[in-house]
Amino acid sequence: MSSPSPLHPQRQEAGQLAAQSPLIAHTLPNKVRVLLLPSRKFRRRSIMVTCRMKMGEATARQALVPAVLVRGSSRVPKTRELRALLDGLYGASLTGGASKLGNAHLLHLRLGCVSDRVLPEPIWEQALGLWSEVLREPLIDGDGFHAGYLEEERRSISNELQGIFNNKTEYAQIRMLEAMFQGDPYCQTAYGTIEQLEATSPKQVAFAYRELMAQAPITVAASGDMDPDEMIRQIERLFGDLPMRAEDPYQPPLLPKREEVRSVDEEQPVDQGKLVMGYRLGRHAGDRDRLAARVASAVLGRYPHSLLFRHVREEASLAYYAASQLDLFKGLLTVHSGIDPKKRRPAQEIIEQQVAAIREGGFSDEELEMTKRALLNELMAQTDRPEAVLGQAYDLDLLGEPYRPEEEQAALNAIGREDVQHAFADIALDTVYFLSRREEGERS
Amino acid sequence: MIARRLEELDLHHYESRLDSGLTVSTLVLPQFAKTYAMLGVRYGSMDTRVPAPGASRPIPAGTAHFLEHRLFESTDGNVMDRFAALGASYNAFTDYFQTAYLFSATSEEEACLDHLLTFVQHPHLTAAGVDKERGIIVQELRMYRDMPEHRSWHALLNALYHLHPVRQEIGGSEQSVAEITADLLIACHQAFYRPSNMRLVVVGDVDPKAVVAQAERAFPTPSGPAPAFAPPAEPPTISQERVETTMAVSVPILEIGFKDRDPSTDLGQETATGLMAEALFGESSDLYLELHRQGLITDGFGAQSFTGPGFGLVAVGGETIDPERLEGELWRGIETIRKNGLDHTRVDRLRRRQIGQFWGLFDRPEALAHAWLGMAFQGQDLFELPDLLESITVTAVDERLTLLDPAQAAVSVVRDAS
Repeated sequence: MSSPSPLHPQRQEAGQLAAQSPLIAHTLPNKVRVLLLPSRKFRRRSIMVTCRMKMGEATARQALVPAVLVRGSSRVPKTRELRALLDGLYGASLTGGASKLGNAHLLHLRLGCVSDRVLPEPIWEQALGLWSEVLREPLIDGDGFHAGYLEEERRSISNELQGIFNNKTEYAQIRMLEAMFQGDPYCQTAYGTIEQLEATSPKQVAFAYRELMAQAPITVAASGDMDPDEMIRQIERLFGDLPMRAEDPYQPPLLPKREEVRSVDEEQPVDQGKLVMGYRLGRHAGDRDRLAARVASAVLGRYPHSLLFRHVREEASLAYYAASQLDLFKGLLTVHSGIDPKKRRPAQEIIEQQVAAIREGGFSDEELEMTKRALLNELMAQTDRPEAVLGQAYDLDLLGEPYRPEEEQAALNAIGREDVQHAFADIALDTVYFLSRREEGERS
Repeated sequence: MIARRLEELDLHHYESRLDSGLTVSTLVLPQFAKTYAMLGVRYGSMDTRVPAPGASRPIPAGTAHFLEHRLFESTDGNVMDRFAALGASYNAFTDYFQTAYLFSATSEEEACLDHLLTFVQHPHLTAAGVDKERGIIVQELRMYRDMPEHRSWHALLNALYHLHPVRQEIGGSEQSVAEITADLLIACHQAFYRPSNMRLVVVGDVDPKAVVAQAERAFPTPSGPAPAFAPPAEPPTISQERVETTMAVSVPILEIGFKDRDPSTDLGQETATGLMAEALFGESSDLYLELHRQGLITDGFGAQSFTGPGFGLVAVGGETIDPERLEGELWRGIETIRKNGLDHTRVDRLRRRQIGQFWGLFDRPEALAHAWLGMAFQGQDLFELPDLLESITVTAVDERLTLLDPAQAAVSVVRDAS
């Protein structure tokens, strides 16, 4: 597609994408998965462990595990001391967190630091030691985690959850999810709910930690300047003693059909209205046409040239933003926009028209081409971000598929308008959420 | 030695000033798929006057930002369509001191760069286009009005400064954007979008000579100087000790800002200020850990130093469930440190931490380009940082504690309307 550019005299062609960043996948005897992205292109290196659990009653206590782990280990029990050590290691970062992938709950512990070859003194071994200590020799006194740290982290997460209300864009999206997925833990944040947090004891968090170590599917992913064989040996030394991992194959999400569209309106003293619409896509990550679904969602609302931006913002001046988002691990498509509160009806109508336009082929060949090119650009650009490559490799690994960007590139090129239309063939509007202030003299 | 040189790591950066006055900066990142380019104009919300026949005339707040929005319509058609056809991602932003246009591409880089260098020179500014944009910009301003951090920050700047245009919102207000006309945008474009007032920054696996040659073709001739920024005669004192904003929030916000009596954009001084703030308020500080222990802060808590021509400040704060208690604890912590001085071994560790962060930039072309361009417009050189961090004395960092003078402080609080 592209001609050799004089700006890039020696650059390899796109076809050699895989050769540039070969991803190595390996399984330890106890079924711990290892994903490695060895490369000297970067000046930083990283290692991250991901444990996979389920969202549900235990979401909050599971999410508290990484938060408490990074406060200290049995050898370095004081957070102050641990952070001082990390600062001295040229600002090595040791972070714990939680995220959700469909109804799976992912718990992470990540180390990032500058590569030894960039520094006047080596630090990797010491940084890796801190990371593994924090994970494998945590600060558990008796049968519970350090009560003081747990209390602090619980309060901190609780404040964060309460603070979501301050960010209206995020708040509106969560409220839409709550309306659409009542009774489904998918509507929780990856940190659970405030009620769950309050009901959690140090014992329960220690129990959740032991569960993670005993049976959760675990993936260790590393990137940067490394000898892959040596890295695998190191990971085996650190994780080889764990019991055999449980089998937990990917299951496609279930989204029950609803007869009528659910509509939720909320009022607050805001200046800009937030309209969020949830669609059941009828497609998911394991489907053959998942790529077509990504293209369809992008033609609809991923880019400034997408239908939503053009029609809702540029032509009708109704919104500052209007975009679509896809979660294939849940089969959910979300459209969100920030609009003039008085223009809710026309905005919703235009959005529904654009979704229908995708299904019915009401987009130009040029719009499709621009979108495919933009997605290809993203795919290529992703190779510059090791955490993005490893993130995608992880998702694919869950589906039992290898990371092969060159194949994805070819598949993306081959997608035609019928594929895009077909990806939206079963789409159905499920829930509409609208946040606005009450307008004087307007019917409510 | 704690920092190595760029050359030792086989990293090379180039800078040249063309005959037209345009400065071209290139950093080669071998093996990167992406080329990231920014064309910056030294024109932001702080520029409040434009030359007019005879004298100069005032510009309504938000004009630089409005012009940035409208530049995506050029005489050659829609600018975004062209980038989209080339498969590039593209964006623009305006801040206090600069406007920047940028793209990221993994193919067709030469065509993208040509487009970037051309479209900013050929805007299509019409009354109809300006009217349509106003509706979009008003929506953007309303979105910011609903953001508590944004409101707190803006209120803090207004409390610290009497006259300096850093007080103005970058996007202006609904009233000020109502005054903006196509003629005004044309006048501002002519005055500020001159090669001598612009910088091109390109980061990626590129040939620096080819970049320069392309920029020379796009900007062949000089077009005279642009209006210089003249800071007003801002008094050294603060304007207001305390400002409160009420809006719909579940968690209040508290920020304390300290106004520098003698502001300077000297990189050495700013580095010292940054280290001082990190030592006092950073995640590994005693104060941070104590505030976290008491449940008074969230992850967003932190300190930042912010300087530019004619202003300089350090702000600390974030979301908190109890602004009064947080404020009390902050004052107590500041007083203790001002009395006892900083822990020297800690400053030394933070120096290493910042060197690590500097090297991290080279894995993130966007962050690197943004830092390079923004600093260059302040007369600072990003690549001096390793040397500076290596050589800065603890005494110099300690001295910056004088900045945290209660007489120079203003407090901004955002709380719930109900």
